[in-house]
Amino acid sequence: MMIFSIKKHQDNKNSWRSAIPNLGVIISITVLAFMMFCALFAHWLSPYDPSEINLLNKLMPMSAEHWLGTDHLGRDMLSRLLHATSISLGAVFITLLLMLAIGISVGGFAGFIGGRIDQGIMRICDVFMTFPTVVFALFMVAVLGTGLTNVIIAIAVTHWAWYARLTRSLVINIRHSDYLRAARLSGVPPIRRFFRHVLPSVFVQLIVLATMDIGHVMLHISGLSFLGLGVQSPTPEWGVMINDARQFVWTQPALLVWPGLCIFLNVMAFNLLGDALRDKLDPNLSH
Amino acid sequence: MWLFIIRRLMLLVPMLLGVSMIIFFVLRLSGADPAMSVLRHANIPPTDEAIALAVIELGLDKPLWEQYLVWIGQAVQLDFGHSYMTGRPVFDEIVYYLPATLKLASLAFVLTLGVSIPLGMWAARRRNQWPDFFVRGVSFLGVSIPNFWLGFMLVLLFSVQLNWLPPMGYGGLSHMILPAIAIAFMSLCINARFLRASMLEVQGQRHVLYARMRGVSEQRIEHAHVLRNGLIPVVTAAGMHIGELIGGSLVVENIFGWPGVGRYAISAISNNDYPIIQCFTLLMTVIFVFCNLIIDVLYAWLDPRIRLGTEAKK
Amino acid sequence: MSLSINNLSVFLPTGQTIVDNISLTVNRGEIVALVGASGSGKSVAVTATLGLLTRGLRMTGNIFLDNKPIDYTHARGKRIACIIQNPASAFNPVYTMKQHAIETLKAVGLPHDINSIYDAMKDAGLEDLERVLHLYSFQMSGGMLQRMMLALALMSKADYLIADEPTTDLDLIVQSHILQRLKHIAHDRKLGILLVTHDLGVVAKLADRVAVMSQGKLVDECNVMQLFDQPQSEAAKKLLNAHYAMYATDINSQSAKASVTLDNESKETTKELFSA
Repeated sequence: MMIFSIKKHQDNKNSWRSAIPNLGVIISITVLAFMMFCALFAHWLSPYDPSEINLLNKLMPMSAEHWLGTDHLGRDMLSRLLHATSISLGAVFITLLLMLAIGISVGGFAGFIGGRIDQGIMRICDVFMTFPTVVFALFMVAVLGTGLTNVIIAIAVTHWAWYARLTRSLVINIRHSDYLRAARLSGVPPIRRFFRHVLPSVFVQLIVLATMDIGHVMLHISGLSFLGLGVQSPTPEWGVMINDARQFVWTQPALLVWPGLCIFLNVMAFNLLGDALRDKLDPNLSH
Repeated sequence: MWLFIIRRLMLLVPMLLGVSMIIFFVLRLSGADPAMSVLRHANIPPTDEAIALAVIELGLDKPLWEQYLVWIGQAVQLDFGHSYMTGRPVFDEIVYYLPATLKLASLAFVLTLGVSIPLGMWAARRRNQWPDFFVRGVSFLGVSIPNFWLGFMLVLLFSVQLNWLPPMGYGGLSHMILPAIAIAFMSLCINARFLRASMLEVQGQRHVLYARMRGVSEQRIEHAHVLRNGLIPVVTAAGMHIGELIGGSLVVENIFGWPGVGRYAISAISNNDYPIIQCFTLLMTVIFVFCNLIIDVLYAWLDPRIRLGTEAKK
Repeated sequence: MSLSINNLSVFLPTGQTIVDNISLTVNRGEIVALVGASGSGKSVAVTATLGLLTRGLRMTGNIFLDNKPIDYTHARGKRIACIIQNPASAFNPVYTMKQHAIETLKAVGLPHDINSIYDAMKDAGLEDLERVLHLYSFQMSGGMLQRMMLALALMSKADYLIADEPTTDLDLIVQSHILQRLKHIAHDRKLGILLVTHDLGVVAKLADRVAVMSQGKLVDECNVMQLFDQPQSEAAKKLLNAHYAMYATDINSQSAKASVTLDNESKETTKELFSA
């Protein structure tokens, strides 16, 4: 018992270190807020039309007129990056919503129903989880065709099984808790039991996991777009922009650096947020 | 131990069957039309006659279940049909490109473990000192870097600026090292952090204290207790990394002009070359599944609790 | 020939005292019980004696082994052996008992000879030795594990043994068995045993001398008979009362008072009453 109180004390002593998650939350929220601001107001913030081609101005370095230079078709980089922000962030959120929707409904249903239907659904989840993510995403794109919508669906299909499994186990845990038993004994009907009692705590843990997963999803989306399977040129998207800039790695490498930097900063901000949320809300979760 | 392996192998079969079913049915139910695809690639105008002929030739008039059984029956004999594009046997083509990808993925795997384990140990040993902060800091950044972008940055630094390494092409270590780093970096970072956390957790466990009480040397404690136990969860996680590494190879090959199966598959996707797509997906998944099996066996070997099941006390 | 703890104090990083200037000597051939309520600092004192304090804790004072300042690397395991509570978590689950035994023998520099392992295990009261050696900790009961711990302590041929709540997690039958073994071994090998416990029944069974700790301080030190017959400190009285409350006797009852004047043999009987 002594050891416990000693350990607790050590944590308090390192309070400046426990402030770092708080710092992390602040930084990540700032970066994300900035990104979302750019995404929402890209149209008004952009100095130029992102698809305005001007071959006379192509491959210009950073200058007063074009803060981040121009690409190989003379389009202003800054404007393209701003618009790419809306596209990428939008795509990521839609994918996330889709994954969560499918995962939670399937998993929640399985956990609540139990029995053989539950077992059957879990087998299906297992099969989906047997595929390596990128391979399956490529397969889904092959099936559905290229384009951003299809990439979103593809990635949602590869990832939903994890959320389904998690939701199911959380639902089962709660189902067997005394708290819910009390509700059932006092005559609360099943559907109300599910929505009012089970769902809220399940949500919190799922939100934490989803936040930690957003970075992953963003990397996959831009990866698939980079391969030419997602967003198609001329629509600005970070992965596509990197692909467009490949041939200029010797001549104008900045074109490669900026979009990648955007991906990096965004993913890092989401990861920071996810870590901080996890530490705050459920320190027992390990990914 | 053998019983464990056999049991796991038996569980694999229904899984792989399920995988093959998803591959077949999702593709066919999505409205993909193999008949049209074949005609297009052969440059035959899709008249009603031509389509009808193609349908019979490809066996598309039979019920879907039967088609699946035909496909899976042939697949087990390693016959995946012929590419719509080239007309050559799909399996032969994939097997031609596969070794290059596997070489690259293997190097990436070796890099991942070979760098992350010492780094994780170092960070755990020097907890809250500069090596720890360094490892944690770099890891944190590494988890956020897209592998394809990292590939380009590496090319920028090592080929364009420094001219130390070739930017593209197939060859020996000098051609493989940059793509391998790009592929491995994220998994490496995740693994280092994970090993560090795992070792720190083991360090706090009572059996380490008891070992010290018995006079066991610090050196032995670090290796035989902290590392030995700390590695167990890391080994389990290695299975996930393999999936990421395989996936990463497929993307990064593109950048470095590495003649692997990734490039092949991606062009097949653009061309709706369904036999290739089916074979590719199935094959890569099977490889992934077997790698995971090896990891599971390794896990059971390392942890007697898994091998024996936490049996009731005697 | 003794293990002496001199003016040992242990401080939290804030400066708060957990162990306050305790001094205690354990001679070879005697069993000294260190008793106190939970949180009195007994276990910390033990880890301090072995130089295994948790990070951040500071200690002052010194430990002497056989009249020389203690060298932890040479003392741990080799001169001072340990058995601790909750044996299930003390063994590494990936190693068999045999691997633990060999590790222990190597650590103290003795040849890892199977016979010495068998002898120690027999002394500790284990049976079916060949089979036990191939077991992992999660396959064994608490009693078996505690005996294995005792065996490891014995095979190291240490002169001193620190037993930190060795019977707390065990059922009464197993407890009694282990205590009997301990007593027998202590007598046989002339071990100096420091027995940390909060259970007065254990004290009654084994101890020669008793030291009482309360809130980090050593408040009483006496012969075991004295503890039961004429407890001096408040802490000792409290412990006794709690013990009686469990067994429904009363320190002020006539029978207890009468026991004070009994001769040695009867004192033994009284002592046994407490160890029921």
